[in-house]
Amino acid sequence: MTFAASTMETTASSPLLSVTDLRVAFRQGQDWVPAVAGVSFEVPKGGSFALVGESGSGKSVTALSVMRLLPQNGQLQGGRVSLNGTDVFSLAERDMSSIRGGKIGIVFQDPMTSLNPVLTIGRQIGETLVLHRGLKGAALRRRAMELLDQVGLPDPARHLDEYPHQLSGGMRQRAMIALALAGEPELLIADEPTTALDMTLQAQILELLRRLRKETGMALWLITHDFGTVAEVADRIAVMRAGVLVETSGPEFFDGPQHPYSRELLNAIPRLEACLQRESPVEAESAPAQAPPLLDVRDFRVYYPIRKGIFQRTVDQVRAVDGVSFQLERGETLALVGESGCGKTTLGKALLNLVPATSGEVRLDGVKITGQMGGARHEAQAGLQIVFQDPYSSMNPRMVVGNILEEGLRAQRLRTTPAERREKVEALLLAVGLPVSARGRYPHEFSGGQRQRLCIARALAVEPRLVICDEPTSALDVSVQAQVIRLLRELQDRHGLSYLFITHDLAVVSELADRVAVMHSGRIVETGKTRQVLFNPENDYTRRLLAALPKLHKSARTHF
Amino acid sequence: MPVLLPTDILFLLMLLGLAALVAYTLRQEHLRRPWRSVIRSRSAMISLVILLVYLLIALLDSIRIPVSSNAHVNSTSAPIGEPVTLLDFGLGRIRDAQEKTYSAPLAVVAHAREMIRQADGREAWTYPRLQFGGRHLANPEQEHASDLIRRIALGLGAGIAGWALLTGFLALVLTRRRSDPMDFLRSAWRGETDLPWRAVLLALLLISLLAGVLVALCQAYHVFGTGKVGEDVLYQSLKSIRTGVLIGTLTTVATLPLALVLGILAGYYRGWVDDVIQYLYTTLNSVPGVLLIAAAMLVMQSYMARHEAEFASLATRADFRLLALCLILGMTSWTGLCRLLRAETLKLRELEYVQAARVLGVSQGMILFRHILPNLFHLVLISVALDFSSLVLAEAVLSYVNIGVDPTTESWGNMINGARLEMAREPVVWWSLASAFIFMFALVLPANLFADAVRDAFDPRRAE
Repeated sequence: MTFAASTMETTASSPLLSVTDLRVAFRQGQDWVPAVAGVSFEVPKGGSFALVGESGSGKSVTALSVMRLLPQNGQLQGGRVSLNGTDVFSLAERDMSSIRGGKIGIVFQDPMTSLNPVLTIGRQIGETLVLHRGLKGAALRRRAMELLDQVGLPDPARHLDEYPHQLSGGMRQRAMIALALAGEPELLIADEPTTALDMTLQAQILELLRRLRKETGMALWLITHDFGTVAEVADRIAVMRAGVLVETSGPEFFDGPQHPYSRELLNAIPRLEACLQRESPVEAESAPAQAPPLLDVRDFRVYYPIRKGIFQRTVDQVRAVDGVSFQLERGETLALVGESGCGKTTLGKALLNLVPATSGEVRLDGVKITGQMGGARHEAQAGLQIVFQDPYSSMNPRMVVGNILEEGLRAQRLRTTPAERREKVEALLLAVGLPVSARGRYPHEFSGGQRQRLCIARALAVEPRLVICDEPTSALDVSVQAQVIRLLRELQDRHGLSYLFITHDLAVVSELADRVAVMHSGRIVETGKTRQVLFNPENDYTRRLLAALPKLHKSARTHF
Repeated sequence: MPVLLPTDILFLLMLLGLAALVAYTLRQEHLRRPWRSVIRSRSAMISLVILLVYLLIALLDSIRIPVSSNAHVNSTSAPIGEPVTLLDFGLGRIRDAQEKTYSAPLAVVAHAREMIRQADGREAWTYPRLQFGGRHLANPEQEHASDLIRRIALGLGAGIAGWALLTGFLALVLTRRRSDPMDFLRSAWRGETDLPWRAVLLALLLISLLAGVLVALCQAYHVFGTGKVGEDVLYQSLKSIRTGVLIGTLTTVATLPLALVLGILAGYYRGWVDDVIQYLYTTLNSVPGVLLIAAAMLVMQSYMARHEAEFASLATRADFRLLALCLILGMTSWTGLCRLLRAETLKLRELEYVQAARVLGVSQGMILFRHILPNLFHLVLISVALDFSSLVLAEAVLSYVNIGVDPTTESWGNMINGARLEMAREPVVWWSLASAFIFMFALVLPANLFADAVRDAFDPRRAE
């Protein structure tokens, strides 16, 4: 206790990093648009600080300006950053490069693009070691190996001579962290270090960061949009919005944030308990047993051939979907959960014939749709639609919204006159909560959440019975995510839709799904009512997934 | 009644197509946006003005009127009965101003000495006076310089007057609905307008000054001298503009359908379609381009020899050969763009909006036309703009190795080819080469600058 108090005192007297009234603006055409508008905070020695905010709030820009790595069109407009008492902004560029990597290490979101693909891991770590630690030869190699071992990469000697593409996503992020640690920095900036990773990997990386902080005594500055990761790691939390910090507080933050915006954000986080409060409509009504299920999938398989040699002979197959069977009732939401690479997206696309299926049978409303070709197939699966993950690439940037929404109507000859089509498009826009005037605008004029609404409207235009939602919320900010989920639920009630909801996020599942199917390496390992799968899982893999979920999603700790 | 040769018709059709495209672009917001950034660039606007001047000359040189209706032109250079173009009509004077052989720019005497019987009966080894250049001067030694200065001054004056008229007209047209034309001119002068009008007006001023001086001088002199058989080099260079522009544009038009159709089909359908198309263009790419062109031109020549009746006149023969060259160049240069489009289509077909369209049951033709094609448009535009100048240069190279346009067609390539021998003469005859170089340079440089601006505006990697 006394020890804690004394460290508190020293950190208070001289923080490692102190940022005072930082202002950054970006040039847009003729104007300067402020991205960071007067941000002040401190990171104590060996402390951990989290900067939380939604996309576009300026959190990454803050980190980049501290490193003096702002892009061309960005400009520092004021403020002071001092590291150990030295004013960072007054340093010469060559002194700055000894600070980057030497005093401050940084880990970016995407391990794929932040490692050089043509150099081995060992070379890249070695580079930093030579530069900041002056190591050579065998000592260099030994230290690099130690670092890889420290970040928990198994068999470091082998990975040292491997290229980034030979490592998996989680291993790459570990290598990236080893690279950041090579200069033995006093401060590690982790900019969304787990966002691109699967749930189980996320938990491992967070655990690793926490352990490293304890072992090396460096300070950690975490930048994230995810309160889940924050709750696990940070001592101090700052919430950022539109370039300003709306609230800075300690771990007591999660017991009751002061600022309404923080409260709103925290409330928007999907929680596992959500499913406990909902009555499943299927449970309530219990549909007559004799009617065939809306979607009946039996022993469905999708194999990708691996071709080799000059004649492209098929030497092996990737079993992306390997014998999957499930049923989906009318008005029901079935969530298909699994980590990346488990085949859930392939399954969704193969159901729609976007990817050729290898074998198996799919019946929609009792009508067999597999085995039909061309126009017949289109007709048979007219009641099946899809909403994609990425709201940025899912609409043609050269078409106005009205035309995008009309496309299905034209293709299926549902409304033949322009007036009818226009009326339908306007009705759709209103249904997804957008103004009628959106009709004449281009997709790029809308935000991510609005675009996702438009994609939902496009799918609804042809009046489908079943909508396959392929991670529709994972590219969105938390608050927007909550809105989209609400919209999906509303539309389900109003139109009697069924959803096949493909996701990796168990918490979102609990908000929306009636039943859950857990998928692992191409097979469904567990199916059941949401409540049962989330709170009483039978399968080991499901249990592992649940264990990896950040505590915030699990506990009902927040009472306002 | 105008007489039109095949290339004229194609060129005019192409200009119409271009106009239609511009009209369409103006109505589409997503197309207008990048173009706005193009026309805001000063260098692009100046380049555009110069390119338009070239285009105008080429256009004037593509509208032919029968010679009989035109009493002015009864020259020795064109066979009787051949139709002449509007440009020939306008340049009648220098077109007909033939000398015996070489003469330097603005000279009053020939380039080489000759035995001349003088008025008093004695023979002298001296430079003979030209038949046209400086004919009006009684005593060239004293009057030549002052006459040149007088004419240049006159030309500058006329240029300024012409520019003032043009500017006034522009100001009136541009402000027709909104404001006072003088206000517009004032803000243009201060550089306050949204578009770089000051740069445009200055470019126009420069062009009109140049044109004024050229017109004033060419009334009595050969501004760029004369060639081997005494033809005016300025006239040759001006006539070459049509050839250059035509090869640059028609060839592009010939490559587009092939590159677009094959590139999109290969990228979208993959499988054996892709294999066949890839095989086709890798094979074509592995044959040296010049060899292919030479072979095709020989085949074409032997075809013309066998069907002599159809190519009775010199003009039709030259025209056919020009058209053939454009097509052959087109056939050999579509592969680059095709490869680019295939790669982009491969990427686009996996995009979610294309997949969404497939799920909605949109037909494949519609997907290609509505979703793939418009999203390839920027690539086509960039590559067309970049290719134009290289094609103009390619013509010069091909004519140099004698597989280019017909030797009777005026082209920069032919002029440079001719200059091969002229450069070896003593004293050296440099003006043909210089003139071809200047005219070509003045076309290719703006074309490249404009292409750069287009690429900056349309290339998604350079956006923002």
